[in-house]
Amino acid sequence: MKSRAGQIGLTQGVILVYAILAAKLFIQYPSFLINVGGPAAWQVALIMTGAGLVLFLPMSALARRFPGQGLGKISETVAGPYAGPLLSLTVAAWLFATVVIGLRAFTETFIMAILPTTPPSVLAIVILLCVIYAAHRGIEPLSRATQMLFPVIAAGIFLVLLFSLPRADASRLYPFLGFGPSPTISGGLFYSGIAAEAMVLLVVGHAFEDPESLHRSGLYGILLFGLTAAATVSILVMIFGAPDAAQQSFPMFNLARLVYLGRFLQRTEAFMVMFWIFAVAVRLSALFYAGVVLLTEALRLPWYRPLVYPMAVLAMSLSLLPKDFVTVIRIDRDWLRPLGLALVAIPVVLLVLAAVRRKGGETHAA
Amino acid sequence: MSLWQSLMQLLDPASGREDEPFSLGDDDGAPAAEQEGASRLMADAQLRAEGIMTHIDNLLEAQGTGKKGLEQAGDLSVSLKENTERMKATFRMPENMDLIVREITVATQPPTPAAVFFMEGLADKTNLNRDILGPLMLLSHLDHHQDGEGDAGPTTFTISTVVKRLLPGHQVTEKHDLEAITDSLLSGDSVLFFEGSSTALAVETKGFPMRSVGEPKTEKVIQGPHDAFVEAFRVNVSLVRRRLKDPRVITKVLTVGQISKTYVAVLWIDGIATPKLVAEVKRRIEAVNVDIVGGAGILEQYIEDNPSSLLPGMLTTERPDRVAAYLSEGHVAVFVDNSPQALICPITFWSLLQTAEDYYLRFPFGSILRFVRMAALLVALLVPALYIAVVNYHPEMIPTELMLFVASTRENVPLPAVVELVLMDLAFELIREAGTRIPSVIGSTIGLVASLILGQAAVEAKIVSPLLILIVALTGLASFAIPNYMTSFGVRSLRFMLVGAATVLGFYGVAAALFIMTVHLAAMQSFGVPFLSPVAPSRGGLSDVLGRGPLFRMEMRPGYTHPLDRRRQGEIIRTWDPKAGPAAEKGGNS
Repeated sequence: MKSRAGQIGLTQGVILVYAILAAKLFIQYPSFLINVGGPAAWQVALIMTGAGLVLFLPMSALARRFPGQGLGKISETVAGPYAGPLLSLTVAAWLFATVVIGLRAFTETFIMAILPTTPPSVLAIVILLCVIYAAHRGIEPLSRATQMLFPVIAAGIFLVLLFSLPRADASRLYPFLGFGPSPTISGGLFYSGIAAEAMVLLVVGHAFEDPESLHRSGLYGILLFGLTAAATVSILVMIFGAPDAAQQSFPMFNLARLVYLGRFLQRTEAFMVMFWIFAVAVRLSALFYAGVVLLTEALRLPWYRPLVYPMAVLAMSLSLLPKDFVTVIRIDRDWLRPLGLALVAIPVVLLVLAAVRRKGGETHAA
Repeated sequence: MSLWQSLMQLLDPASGREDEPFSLGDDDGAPAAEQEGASRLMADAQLRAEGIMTHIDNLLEAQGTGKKGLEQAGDLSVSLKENTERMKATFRMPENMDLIVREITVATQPPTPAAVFFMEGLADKTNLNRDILGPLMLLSHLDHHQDGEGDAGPTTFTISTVVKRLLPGHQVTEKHDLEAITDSLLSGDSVLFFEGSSTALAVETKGFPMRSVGEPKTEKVIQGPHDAFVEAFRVNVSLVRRRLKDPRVITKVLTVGQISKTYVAVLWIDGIATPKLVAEVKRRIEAVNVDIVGGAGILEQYIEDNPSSLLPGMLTTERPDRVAAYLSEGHVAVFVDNSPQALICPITFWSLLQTAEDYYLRFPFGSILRFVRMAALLVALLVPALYIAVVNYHPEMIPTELMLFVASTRENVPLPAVVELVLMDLAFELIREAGTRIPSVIGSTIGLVASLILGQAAVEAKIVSPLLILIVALTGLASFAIPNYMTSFGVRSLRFMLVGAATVLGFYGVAAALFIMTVHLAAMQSFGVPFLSPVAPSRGGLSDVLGRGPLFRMEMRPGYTHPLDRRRQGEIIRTWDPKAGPAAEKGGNS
């Protein structure tokens, strides 16, 4: 089947996962964490990371069992010609829903942040054009572009955090245990669905050089994101205080607004937002591409590109359906996150099935 | 014509009708033109048919003489007259006056009639007189020892005697068919036909006017060699060979173009360049099926991966030292005859920002130069777009005092910022284009005057603000700091797109456009090599990409060309150095 070896190596994989996950920091995601963890939100982030890493392991085990294959092929091999595509479709649907909600959430953020008088549909169309182009080009160019843009994306996060430090007040991190260990741990576990987004790696497993780099990309990417998320929420809490930070819709943007380093370096948030757009475009493109590829494989179509444009139009229309931003946040937090957590079960099921039905692996090479 | 005559003509009803003006597409001439075309086709076909008949005859005769004999059986006749007639017909003589026929008698025993053919202007006449006509006509009657035999006597005529004893030309080849003869005549050789022989001899007498090796026009350096390629590809190849004295350097000459029959030389180093790359380059060149190939820039468009991209897919250089350096790293160079540039493939985005000078300077300065160019790229690409975005959408980003100043200078200007910018950019492009085309003696003066006066006058007329002049001048300067001519073009075009995006959507538009550009760059390939490698995908060996590391630490050739031999030089070059050499390692340095 495979015409040539994949080209995505470890560095690109790590950066791809990191960019996919880190883009969430620019919307209301840090507030979710602070909401459940209060002053101990950084512990939530760390628990989430640990749990996310564990949840990623079945995926990489699956990728190692079927080297050079994507999720669509694997599920068809393991679960048969009917159940397999159904499982793929489930994952594709979730990825697609994430794109739709992400599209709307980011549109709202950018309207609020830099273009208050522009109609949302214009912003959505523009970012969708980026997504269409990237998806059209495929995952390898996208991951290379992400690698090129990585310094800028990282600067967009870390410069904001760094420049905010002068206003930080470490005493706001107390009480140390926040609302107590039990909400912290349960909150951390609830948000460990970040592994579901890392499933993009498994979907495009055929594009990786080897399963080992896929495995390590996922782990390092999730770990780096977890540390960044922990740093972000701690600084947010240190600056705004937990109750205030938990209620902000755009915590990171508010942080960027406060940056004041002398008379010359102030009000740079518009510039920072420009850097964030790169991360957002990468996130949406990668999830969208993965969704489309999975859909293609589930429907046993020979080539994914004809699906790109119709799916983009669909995403655009669906993203305009929620009546306001609060609905978007609610859908994201109350539906997509738990469903993402549930989605992580699919690789586990596939792995168990593969073991039972003796499919894949070195001794039973498919 | 006298006044009276003109007056009469005006009054004469018969002369009132003007003659039909000349037109190429005139219907009247059509049947005649068709007839003419048909008769030419007929003549060509007849010529070919004669050739085929003779070829068959020769093949029949050569039966039983083995493979070599069959191969040598071409379409030439044994009759000198017949061959001469066919040559004349092929070259459309007597209408065509470039082919010269000199009929002679070779003073062998018995005297053999012969004919020398050469193209006027392509063959060197001194050579012809001294090395062909002289020996054959004057000296061939001298006693020569026969081949393989010891006895003396008058020379008898055979082709091999002529080749071995009578023709002192340095390159003599036997030709057996008309097409090969035509080709060598047109490349400047002289061709000899002999009565009674179906073999012709081509003697190398090339001598056409040629520019001598001069200085590079667009890739000047301060330190380093100052020679540049010229229009003759043989000279160019020799300039490179002088720098690579290795027998493994291979020059493969291909011919492209049905009419132009342009020589295209492909150079690579056997054992370093991967054979897959060499085969691909040759495959693409051989696939070019056009009538003429005018130069490197034209061939490039036929064989590069992304002909519609704004950035070049092959590196054009006029410096032999660069070609030699690239060859040594496993690249392939392509020379096109009549073109003072070489094409190098595959290339990466980063090589478009490098110059030969980077290597002739000590490494900190080489790196600094590259960083300056990188900054120039960013300035040339982004500054106008960012200016528009800030002025139109985010004036709060500028410190208050500066913003007040900007506002006060812009107050007098009635035009929107983007119109100002585009106007000034257009004026800049005008100055650039005019400066390139006008004679160089007045070129620099005009450029200076135009830019100074235009800018000053535009500000005083309150059409543009002074800050904008600063921005346009800065971006213009930056775009000329990009060393590659084509890249500089591409960056200037992309700049207009970014300005458009910034006008419509501010930073959001700029970011979206940049994202699409980056994905486009990442998707581009040059002969199978990702355009952004070795940065993305990272293949190691970054010391010679963004900066320029010390030469003595560049032990490996870049991996993206997949060279057969990765190692360029030994681990430690400065062996004499107590700080870096083996001495240091022995001294307890692990």
